[in-house]
Amino acid sequence: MNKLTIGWLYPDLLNLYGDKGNIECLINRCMWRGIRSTVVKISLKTKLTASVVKPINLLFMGGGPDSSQVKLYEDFTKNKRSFIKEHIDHGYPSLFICGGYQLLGKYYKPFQGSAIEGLSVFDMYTEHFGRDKFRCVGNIVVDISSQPFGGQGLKRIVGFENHGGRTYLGEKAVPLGTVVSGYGNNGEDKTEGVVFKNTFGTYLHGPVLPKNPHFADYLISKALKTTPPSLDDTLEVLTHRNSLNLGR
Amino acid sequence: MQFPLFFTIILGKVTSYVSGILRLGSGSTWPGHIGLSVRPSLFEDFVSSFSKGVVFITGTNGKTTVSHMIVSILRLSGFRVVHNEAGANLLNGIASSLIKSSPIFRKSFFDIGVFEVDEGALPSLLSKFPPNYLIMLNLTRDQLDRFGEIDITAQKWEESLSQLERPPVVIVNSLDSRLVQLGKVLSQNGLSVHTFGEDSSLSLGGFRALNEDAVRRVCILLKVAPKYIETGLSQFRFVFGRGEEIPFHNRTIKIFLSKNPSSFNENLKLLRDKGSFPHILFILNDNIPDGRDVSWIYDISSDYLRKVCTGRSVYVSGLRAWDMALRLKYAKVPLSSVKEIQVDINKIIEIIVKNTSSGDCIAVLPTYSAMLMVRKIVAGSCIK
Repeated sequence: MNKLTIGWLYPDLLNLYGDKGNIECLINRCMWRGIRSTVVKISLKTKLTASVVKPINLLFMGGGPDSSQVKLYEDFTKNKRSFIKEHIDHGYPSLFICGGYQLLGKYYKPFQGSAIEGLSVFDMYTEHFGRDKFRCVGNIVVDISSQPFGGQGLKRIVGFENHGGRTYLGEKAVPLGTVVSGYGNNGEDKTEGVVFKNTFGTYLHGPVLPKNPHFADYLISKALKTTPPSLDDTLEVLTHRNSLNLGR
Repeated sequence: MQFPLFFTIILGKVTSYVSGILRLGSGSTWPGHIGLSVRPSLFEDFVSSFSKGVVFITGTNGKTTVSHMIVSILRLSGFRVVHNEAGANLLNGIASSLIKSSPIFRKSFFDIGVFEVDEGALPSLLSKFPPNYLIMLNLTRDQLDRFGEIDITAQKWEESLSQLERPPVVIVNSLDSRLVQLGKVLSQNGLSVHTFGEDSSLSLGGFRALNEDAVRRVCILLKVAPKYIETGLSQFRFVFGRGEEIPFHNRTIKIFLSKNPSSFNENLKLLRDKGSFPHILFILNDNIPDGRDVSWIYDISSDYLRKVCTGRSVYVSGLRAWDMALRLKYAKVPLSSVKEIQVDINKIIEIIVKNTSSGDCIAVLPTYSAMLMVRKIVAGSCIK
């Protein structure tokens, strides 16, 4: 079987919210199936040569503080843009969380100052309203039955959101799911996240993959282009179910 | 229109007494809360109450331990000290300790005030109750949903300090690069800045050695005789959930408060190296004092978790016991090591007593509210 090669964007700058647990989850779920995996760390200084880029079949970018996002912005939009867009357009899976998710939209408008251009992969924009609107913080439950991995078994994903920016989807954008409990993209239209081909953007920390094993396995299956054998997910499912009733 | 001071103090003392009698458990914050509501200028009344000055200790980890160490040394050397010993470190907690220590009709007069101050509350407290010395221990990720970003916290510290007419002497951890940088900026703004932790041999002693160095630095500035400093440090016993040992049913329970990745990792290192605890209990809550977002548990070293848990009997409890158990699984802790996952802390302690023998030692790694609960069950008290 193929090897899972995860391209991890800016692990040194964007590692604030436990999101590296997502990497650990993917690697372990492969290991337990006897599937080899490796992580390619892509940071500010990384040169994206063909040998670096070619093996990558899954892309991941976590969340982080504003100061980190400022540091990586120029590199992200200049040096990493074409690699990221190609990976996404070819249908390889990717997961972008919080800040990374926002940067894949058309733009991010901060409370003060002009809009910051994104990669325009997703048909959406994000705006921060300063103190005029409250910060979206708390446990969140999202109905993902519209997704291919939401069909049987677990029909939801669970996590924790913490964002000041509010994301508004355009006509062409497909949300990841519908908010059952929590705020989601903007606290108004009950959408959460976005999907484009096999690329997912979401505000869910938690981290999102360990207790949403159906989501983790979907990303793995898209990367390896095959459905991996199932695992004993008793603990994952019990944890997931416990999170359905946490309240805000 | 505000209440006169003597009346405010009476009100505060009555509140403290009543909440103690009724075991309401908030006796360390209500007096201050009520006091500040009826007399908003309360802190001003105490600004000149300390002949040798006021010390603030702030940072993510170590505030309680360092402040207790300083206080025990100062008391050894004969100073009269006011201290928010229960660890209530927001404005209402500090106001409470001022009210409780104050005489009603005479002017309050002590030698030194030593207060641990919450990192988020420091900026607003500084303008109302400026200290003479400020120890900055460290600034790391703590409750993610509460502060959002540590850069903003450091910035707010700098802004509020630079606005003071008579800023304190600042003592900064030389091993925390963010704080060292902050120290440089403050120095440029004319503040007196000292450092602790330069001695490279300190790194072998971990948190404890570093904390002791901070304590020495401020005690020297306060002109405490060295003999009291060294005696105080050597006699110091852990407090309140920070390495505290409590006998229970012929077993020994040792509590290691683990409220964020850095303190969790330090505690795991201690357990990995010392190795005398065959049983370990993790308790993960997500109440407000613990932080509602538990994603941080994935920032605990997987390596340390695996090494500490392998070969031990592991128990998991707390409101988010399931998340913690799952975290252990992804840290590659063999599931055979995990003996029980039980949300109810009372029940897990019963189970542990049943599964252990007389003389056994159990290490408990709880988040903050879980630590208070464990202390209540095991030692019979929530807050001293």
